[in-house]
Amino acid sequence: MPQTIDFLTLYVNKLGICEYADSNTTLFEGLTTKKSIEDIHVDQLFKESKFYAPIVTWLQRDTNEFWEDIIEDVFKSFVVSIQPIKINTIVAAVTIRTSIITRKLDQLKYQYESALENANVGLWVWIDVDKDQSWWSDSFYELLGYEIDEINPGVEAFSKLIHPEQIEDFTAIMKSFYERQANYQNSNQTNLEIKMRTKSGSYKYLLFTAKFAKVNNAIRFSGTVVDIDLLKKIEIELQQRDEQLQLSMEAANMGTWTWKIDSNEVIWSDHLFEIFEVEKNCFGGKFGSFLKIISKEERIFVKETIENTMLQCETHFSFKHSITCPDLSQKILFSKGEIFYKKGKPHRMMGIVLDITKENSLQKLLEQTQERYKIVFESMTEGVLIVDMNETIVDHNIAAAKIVGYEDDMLIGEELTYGDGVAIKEDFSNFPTEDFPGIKTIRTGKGFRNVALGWIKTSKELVWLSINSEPILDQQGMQIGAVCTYIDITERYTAISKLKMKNRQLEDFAHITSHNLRSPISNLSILLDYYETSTSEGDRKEYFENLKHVSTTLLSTIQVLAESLKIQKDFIDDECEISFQEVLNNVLKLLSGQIKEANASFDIDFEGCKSITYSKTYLESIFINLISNAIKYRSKSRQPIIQVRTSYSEQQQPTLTVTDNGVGIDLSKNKEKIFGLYKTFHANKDSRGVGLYMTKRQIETLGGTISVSSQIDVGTTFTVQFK
Amino acid sequence: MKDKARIYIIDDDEIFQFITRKSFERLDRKDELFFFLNGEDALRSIKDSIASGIELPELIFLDINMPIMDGWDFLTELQVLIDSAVNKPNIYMVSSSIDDKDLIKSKKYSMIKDYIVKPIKDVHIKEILTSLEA
Repeated sequence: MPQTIDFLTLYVNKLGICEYADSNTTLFEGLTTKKSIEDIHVDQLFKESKFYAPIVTWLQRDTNEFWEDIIEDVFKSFVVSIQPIKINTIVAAVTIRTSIITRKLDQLKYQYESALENANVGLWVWIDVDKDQSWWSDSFYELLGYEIDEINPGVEAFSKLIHPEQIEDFTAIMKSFYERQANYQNSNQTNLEIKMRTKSGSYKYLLFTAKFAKVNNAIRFSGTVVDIDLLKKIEIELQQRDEQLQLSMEAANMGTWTWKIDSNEVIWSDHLFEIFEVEKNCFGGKFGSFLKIISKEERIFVKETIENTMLQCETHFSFKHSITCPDLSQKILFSKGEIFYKKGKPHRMMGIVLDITKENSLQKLLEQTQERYKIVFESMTEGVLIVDMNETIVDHNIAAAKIVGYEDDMLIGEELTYGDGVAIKEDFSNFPTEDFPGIKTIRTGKGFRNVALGWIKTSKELVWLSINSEPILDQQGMQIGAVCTYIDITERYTAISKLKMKNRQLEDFAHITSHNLRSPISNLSILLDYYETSTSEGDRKEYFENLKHVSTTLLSTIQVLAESLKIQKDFIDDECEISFQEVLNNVLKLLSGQIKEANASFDIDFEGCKSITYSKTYLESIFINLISNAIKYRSKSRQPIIQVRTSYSEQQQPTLTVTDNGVGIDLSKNKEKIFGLYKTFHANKDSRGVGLYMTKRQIETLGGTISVSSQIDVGTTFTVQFK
Repeated sequence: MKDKARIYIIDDDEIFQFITRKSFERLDRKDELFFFLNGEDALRSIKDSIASGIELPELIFLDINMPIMDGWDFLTELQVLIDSAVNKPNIYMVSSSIDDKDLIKSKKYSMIKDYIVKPIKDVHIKEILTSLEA
């Protein structure tokens, strides 16, 4: 889009009269004072001489040469050119156009001005102080309620609009400005509140900001004007309210006083006399007279509080004190004061006194309630922790610290993950910090219930906790923290795990009776039946042999069952501190035949954990089963090497591992069955079932666990974790 | 069923194997009986049969609790093996277990004809063979 240039061409005759004009814009209306610009002398046409003076001069010179110059206005510059022509009486065509450069500035100006107008801000420029040339923005006119052509902007017009009250002040300011103008450089911005008359005749408060600048040796002021009428009205209203406040102070049982320190004169408000219940004529009106009224015990305290404030040159003080009224009742008063200093010395003191007897008892009640609440909080056996959004513990009760093995108050200000203890899950694996219910509640805003967590205290003692966590919400429903409650369920937890184990053993037992007793008995019944009905002597003999065999098996099964029933904690009577090495030595002696036959070698290391408090019989049995197992399932292609090790687990439990280099077990098929019972108890057959079943029972009865890992044709490792 | 069928007895109880052999003898049949002490041995035999084109057993008596490979694992692997076979074996679960869990589990295998609780005598075997003929 080609840029259009605003222009105004005047066709002027020798006398300087514009006979006719040509223009593509109304923008020049601002330059001229007349609606019609034809048949008017140019000096009547323009508001400012800078526009018509060059034309007049050119006509006077009578050189008939083309002339061009740039004339600067407030925000833009114009290119003025005078072209000599000869058409009838016309001698010159005067063209005033905006320069391309100022056109851009123009746009900027309009952007700003419209923004300012929207904000109810006017602009003004006092272009030349000496010549009293000014420019006011449309918005300024609007603020005053005038049309643009109704007022000629300038100091003269301005002064007329100022409220009579302020004329004097304004003149003084102007005067001081003239006196000091030589010193004005790039002055700071000054603000001035002026009450001005609008067209309607009412007055409006306007706030002027003014900035001084020197442009081409002319002094220029410019600034903004804002309508603050509403604000001012509010301010005045507030002032009035302040007076009302005095009244409400009395309603609030508040009295005021002033102490002129120099003359030691104390002045009380009427209401203060009422508060102190002192007759006006009975009051001495001195500082001492005031102190006398205060009860003896508190007199020194009050005196010192005020004196210290003065000594330290501080300005504000407040204190509570009590007085005894003539009827001997007690009143609690709150005093607040301010000290005014003159030349560094306290000069005057002012303040208020508030009767807070009632409030004080309310305060006491509140404190009591809080105290009672705290007592309940502390007497809870449940641990309660309050955590803020930074996962820091804000408050907790005694139980919360005690349960996890800390002193009272120790956790406040710490992170929820504080401490040297170790958190574990039910399967004894590590409990990740980010899964702590409290932390999860902070991070997700959700509550969690009955989360079981094992905590190994710094003393190595293990406690089981059941944790609940709930988000804390403020009145707007925003989360501001979390509350965690937990109880020590170690006892219950231990009981439950014991019960679980017993239950498992009972299930095993039911399985045994179902399989291991039913099988031989059903065999017996058929064998007997066939024996009776058989006619062949050879068959009968065969049936009888089998009958004998089954009855022997049945007997041994019953014996094993009886044995396994004996594996109960109550039946153990040989628990003592025993050395692993000693027990193993006995076992190796017992198994020496098998070991020799298999040519098995041993790699033994008990340095990790030398001894354990355990049943000697059981430990022997565990060793016998694991070692004979390792020998039985040796690989035919290599010499059996059996590795026996002890150590402590992360949870400080003694751990035993027995590793062989035998054929291995396919655990994908047999993992669950490996410690179970198979139906046959044939002593000479696969006895892994019986042996490992008994071993597992023994270990579990004493609170431990046994697990297995294996790789086919590489070897098998049994890991026993003692309690 | 013809009186010369291929029958597998998979049970780790040697006494049960002895009794079963005797039961068939008492029925005066000429069946081919194959005894296995665990599922793995039996499965290997079936694999061999498929490989050498020998016909599959018509009847299998399968125990549940066995070392190395139990009845359930055997069934799972067999299912894959004989998936495309035309003449699938009739399988009877034979166990001394009166545990409901085992009975319910057996219902999940479509291949199982029936679940029989031990003892199992010649008369029972006769009944089974008759029902198969029908």
